[in-house]
Amino acid sequence: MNGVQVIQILNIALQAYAEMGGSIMSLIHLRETARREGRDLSPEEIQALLDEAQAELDHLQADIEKGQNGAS
Amino acid sequence: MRKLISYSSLSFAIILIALNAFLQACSPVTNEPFVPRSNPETLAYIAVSIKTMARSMDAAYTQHVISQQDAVKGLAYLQSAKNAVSQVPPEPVPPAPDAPKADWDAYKVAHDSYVAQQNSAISAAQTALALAAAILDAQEKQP
Repeated sequence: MNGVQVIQILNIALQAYAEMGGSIMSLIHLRETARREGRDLSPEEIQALLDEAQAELDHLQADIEKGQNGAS
Repeated sequence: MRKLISYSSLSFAIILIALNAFLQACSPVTNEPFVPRSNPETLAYIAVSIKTMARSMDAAYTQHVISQQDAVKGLAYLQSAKNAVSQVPPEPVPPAPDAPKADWDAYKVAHDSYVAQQNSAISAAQTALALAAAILDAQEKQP
């Protein structure tokens, strides 16, 4: 592992930490809204988060396929 | 070199803390601890964890920090976590308050089954997320 890779890893980790922080803030907001309305998180709200997750998974898959095509 | 490797260990420790500390995650702005207090909140937390980890996996792959083989494995684990959460059936609707006792008994059985499936999905998703995190974590052990 060279210095450039270490910087890349550190950068990825910091980005993940920042993104997770933002996501937690959104989750807290969703929870507070639901509580004010006297309910738990709705299936629709969970589905919206799952759709966002699936979009990221599709993006990762597309990048892997691009890499495979580039390698072949 | 050891110092560099310890920096990478630290960075992945941060990823693991951010993605796996389901009970201890904190908002950096409000400083309010996010402790899932119900199964729906845990499912929502898993969903954002999958999203964040998929982004990290993508960044690690495109920057050649992890191999294509590891990226494929990581994608499979994350997809499996997402599928586990997606397969939780809709919550059964309770009968009317004046419905016969048999209807309420049937509802109780259906609701117990629903909660069991939710718990099983949470457990499966958390296992898959841990496996995906281990792929990123393994980088620190590379020479």
